[in-house]
Amino acid sequence: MGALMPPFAKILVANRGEIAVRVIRACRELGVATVAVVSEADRHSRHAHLADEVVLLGPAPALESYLRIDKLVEAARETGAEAVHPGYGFLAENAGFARACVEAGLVFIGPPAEVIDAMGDKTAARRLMAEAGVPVVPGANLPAPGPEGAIDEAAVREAAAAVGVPLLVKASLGGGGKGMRRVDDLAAVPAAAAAASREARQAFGDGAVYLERYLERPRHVEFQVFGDVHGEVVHLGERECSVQRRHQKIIEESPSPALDDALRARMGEAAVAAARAVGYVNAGTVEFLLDARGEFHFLEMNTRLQVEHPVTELVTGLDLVRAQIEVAAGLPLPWRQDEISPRGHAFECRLYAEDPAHDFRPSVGPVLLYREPAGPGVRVDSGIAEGDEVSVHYDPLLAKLSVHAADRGEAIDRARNALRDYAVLGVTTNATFLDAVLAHPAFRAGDLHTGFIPEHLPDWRPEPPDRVLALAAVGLSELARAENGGAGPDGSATGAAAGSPWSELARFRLNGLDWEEQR
Amino acid sequence: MMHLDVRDEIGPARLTVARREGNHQLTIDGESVPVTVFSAAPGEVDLVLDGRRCRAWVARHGDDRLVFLEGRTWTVHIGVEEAEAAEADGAAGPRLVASVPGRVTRILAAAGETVRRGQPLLILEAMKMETEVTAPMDGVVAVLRVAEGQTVALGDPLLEIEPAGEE
Repeated sequence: MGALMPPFAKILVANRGEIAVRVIRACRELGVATVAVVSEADRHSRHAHLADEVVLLGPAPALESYLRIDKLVEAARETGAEAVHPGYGFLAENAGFARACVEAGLVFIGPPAEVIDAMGDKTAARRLMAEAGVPVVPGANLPAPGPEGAIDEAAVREAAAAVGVPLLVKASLGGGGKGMRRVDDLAAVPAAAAAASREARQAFGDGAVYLERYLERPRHVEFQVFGDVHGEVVHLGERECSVQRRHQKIIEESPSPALDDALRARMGEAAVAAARAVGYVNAGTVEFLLDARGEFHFLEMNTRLQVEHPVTELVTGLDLVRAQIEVAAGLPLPWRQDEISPRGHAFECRLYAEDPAHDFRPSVGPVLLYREPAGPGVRVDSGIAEGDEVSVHYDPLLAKLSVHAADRGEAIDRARNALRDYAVLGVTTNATFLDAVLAHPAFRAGDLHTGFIPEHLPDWRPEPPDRVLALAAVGLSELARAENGGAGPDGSATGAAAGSPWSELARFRLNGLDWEEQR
Repeated sequence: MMHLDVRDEIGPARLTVARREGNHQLTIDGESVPVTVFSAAPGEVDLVLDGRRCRAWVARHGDDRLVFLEGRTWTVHIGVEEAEAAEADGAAGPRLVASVPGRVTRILAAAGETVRRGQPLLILEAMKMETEVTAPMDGVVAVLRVAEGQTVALGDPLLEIEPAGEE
């Protein structure tokens, strides 16, 4: 049901990378003009190329560009944008940004600032949820850090003793594992809190952190909720995001292998109750920890679009970003609860710029070659292109490979095959590690918990490819280059630049046919 | 006939590759490799070895050739010279180098300071994650090669430690 008139004339996308690309696509489909914002490092990035207009925010560091509320609001005003989509990360859960947008006469595509505040204060959020009848994980807030990131040690010790170890130090504005640390020793909590606070300040512009009891072997199961300004709230089923490395989600799926219809209904009701309790509007996610007995605890609510929203889109067949924009324009939710019926199984694999052979250290550098996989049920959300430079300044998430198939087993096969076809050279990715997880018998059995990786793949190392094949490939490629008179791509090194990759076709016979002629 | 002296993680190797009457002939360290080549273009090779068909992508980066093969990557260095001084792992010797590219956010030890093994010396931040660099041994910080706020590349020297006593 296409809108006859675009919900907005122009939207500014206050983000970068794959999510900026995703939002710009939704805008284009709706007939909405787009404004991209870039740092100096991103002038030639994919999201900048896709947008109708581009505004330079400032130098590469996020604190001087993508986290500059004043510059973003100014950019929206100057370009005449009517609304701002924050994506995820950066300022997506910053109530100050939402407020600044509204004060400048812009529509913030997300929940109202008061709701971000209510859910952003994670301790207050837990109290609110407990009042709404949703079970919560024990935890405690810490006092705000001083200008140097120092947090009152006595207060930290007192809070830590009350929560008990093991515990997690988490960024109040956090997400994605940033500013998060597990601590097993009470004495180590103050140092961990200070380090987490510094990370949080870098990533989110605010160093506030809190403590939360660490539960053993829980599953991370979250529900996608959606509300409109007319008071309607629905949920779009769950995503299981238990497979995490250092608190960073790497593979997500829907449905969760741990849920039956009865549990799904109970958790879905709790998620909707949680959203209603705060008057939630737009897309949000209610995160639960689910234990082996089927008991679930409210963890937190993310007041934004999630990285892993594609798995929900694949199983429901619905466009969450489009709905975000429509709901922000005051339109009613495009779907009723009884119209939402998930089909099949979906996975998302997060492709990170990190080197699994060297303790997953960040990998930066030029993207020399980039080939995305394709095929039925294969979706790639990516913000990079060949020739881009992956820098140290931003999140290492390069792209998301999502797949949809009739059931979980088929979806695993599909994901593994697509990963095998996902060629990235120049920057090292975690693709081989993702494949190792998908290939693990415990993963196939659906036997997941947040400690899956330390339990099953603690000392995993990537296997090298077949060396003879690799050397043969180098030799043949070099010979072909020499035969071309040294022509052929340098750096980007693709056949495309030198005309057809088949131009140096070798002659040989296949099935009795001359291959060269067959083409 | 083309000769290539190469080196990878496993060690050196000598390749020869030639085309005779349209067929590719390949040897590795003198041994013939029974490869059938569907196509070989600069950067993209499609071949069959031991009944296994495979497409490989090859990118050039200086003297390195980066290969993508069946979901895996491999680096092959062209040339006979010894590989560049191995990437030190940052915890092996008295000379500490950056184990991740990033920015030095904090320096926790001064030149001349006596440090204990495991003591945090500085903090590197890359892609919003902090990495602590700790002293690999008891000793004295002899030279500090970086300043707070400085950006470092993978393998850049950070500081040097004078080990305490002899083992």
